[in-house]
Amino acid sequence: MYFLLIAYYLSILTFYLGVLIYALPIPLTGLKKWAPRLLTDAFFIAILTLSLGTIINVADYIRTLIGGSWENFLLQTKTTIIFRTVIVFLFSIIGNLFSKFLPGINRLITLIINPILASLYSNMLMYSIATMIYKGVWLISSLGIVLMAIPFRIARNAGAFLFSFALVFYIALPLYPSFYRILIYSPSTPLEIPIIYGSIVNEFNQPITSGYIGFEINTNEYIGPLPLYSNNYMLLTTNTKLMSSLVTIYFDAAGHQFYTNISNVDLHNICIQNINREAYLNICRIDVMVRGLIAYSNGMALHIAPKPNNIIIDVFSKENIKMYIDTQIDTQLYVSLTNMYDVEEITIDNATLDSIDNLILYQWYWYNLMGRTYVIDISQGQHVIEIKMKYSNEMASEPSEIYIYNAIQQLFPTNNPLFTDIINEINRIIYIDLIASIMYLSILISITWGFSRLLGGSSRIRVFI
Amino acid sequence: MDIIDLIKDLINKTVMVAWLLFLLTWIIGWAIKGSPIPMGKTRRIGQGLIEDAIWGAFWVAIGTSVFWLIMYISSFLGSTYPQPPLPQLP
Repeated sequence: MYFLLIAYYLSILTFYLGVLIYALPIPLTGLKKWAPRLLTDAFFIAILTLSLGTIINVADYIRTLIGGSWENFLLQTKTTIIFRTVIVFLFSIIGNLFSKFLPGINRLITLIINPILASLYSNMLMYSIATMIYKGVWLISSLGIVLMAIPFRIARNAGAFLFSFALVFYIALPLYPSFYRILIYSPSTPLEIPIIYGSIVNEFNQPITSGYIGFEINTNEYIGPLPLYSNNYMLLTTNTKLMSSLVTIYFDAAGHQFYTNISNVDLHNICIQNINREAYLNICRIDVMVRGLIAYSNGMALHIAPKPNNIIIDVFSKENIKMYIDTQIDTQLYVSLTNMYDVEEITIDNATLDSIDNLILYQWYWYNLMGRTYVIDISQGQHVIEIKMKYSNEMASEPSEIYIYNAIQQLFPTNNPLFTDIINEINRIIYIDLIASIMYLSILISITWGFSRLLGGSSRIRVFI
Repeated sequence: MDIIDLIKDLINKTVMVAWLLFLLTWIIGWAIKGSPIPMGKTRRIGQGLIEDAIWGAFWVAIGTSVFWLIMYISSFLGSTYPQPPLPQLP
């Protein structure tokens, strides 16, 4: 508003300067020519200043007629950015995993990640320009008018450019998705590559930061263990069975397979609701809640049944576990440890339990590891439980990577021809991202330039006056 | 000093100077036109100065009205313009 006020007063000043030049007693044609010019400029700017609201309304109107929506555009760009970030994250994880078995794969992954990063930059560019225009269309256009209003046409061209920049981008930038859709069109059928990811929490909604998950398909085929990545699991699969059969997701830790909220579920149905079609990759988020388990770390799992009111884990290290339990019913805490650990002492509310070996409920095998489970009876009420342990560095705490590699191979066979198809498709999308945004921005800039010539140029054809 | 005050001050000064210059130019114009120099060119210069001065006086006199008119018309246009339709989500 302030800029518009300045522009308005500047136009009045221009007007009176024109009058002053009319009244000058100097009969020079070059000088006198400025008088009518300044007068008409003043009228033009005054009209522009006072009808800026109407102009922006008209721009809104035209934009909705053509079919652009700022909210949709911003939302879509944001989701695209998020999905590209997820893909980068995913590929770096795949690179890390495979590099242990296939030494050359990291180079390939880097080759893919670089263009994705570039496309991320181009999307970020679109997004920042868009937010600038969307939030600042009034500011930029009124600044443009102020520049145009300076007497004697000093900054007229710059002002006209700013003004038309704001206007053109305000109308045309939300049409970018339609433009993109033209470029992205591919004659072949889109690939059905599900990328499934999600967060993992326990029943108390606390994040589970490490561990493994496994997929059971049609109750007879098991794919696992697949490691978590800081509270998230993520997988890219060409295994068509996973999307077309009933699937149970287990949390696979310390000799146990814990049930989750995904039990005998058709993942395809869940994904259909979540998939973002505009992203051109079937990225599907499925959040998982593990039943019974409290926490897992380095071959140690804490689980409890029945479920108490609340549990707070204070310390969870290789030597010491300390936790607070608040329960209204009698419950049992299970501590599953691989044979790497030796329990030294268990205390409940500062009372030490004797004969720890009697607490061993059973022993188990977990892939290449052996371990045992202790059970601790907890009466109702609030308790502090502390467990002290020793561990030996010679023994492993996590299953051998061979098992993980096998699971990944089952999920995503690299000798599958789909693998190269996926890489090609991702590359195609990424390069179109890059090209489309730059192409669209340059088209808009050329329109802006033409429009600013029309508004502020000194060519013969000028609008209005 | 606020920039708007500065501009207002400039406007006031410009108007004052414009009025004074109008009087001056009008007088000079008549002086040249009525001077006993028998040359058509000189008389035409005088005539031009008078005409320009009168145009200037005319614009100064109606300037405020013109700006009021522009403001009135644009507010009139702005208020009668229909609100844009709400975008339909696809």
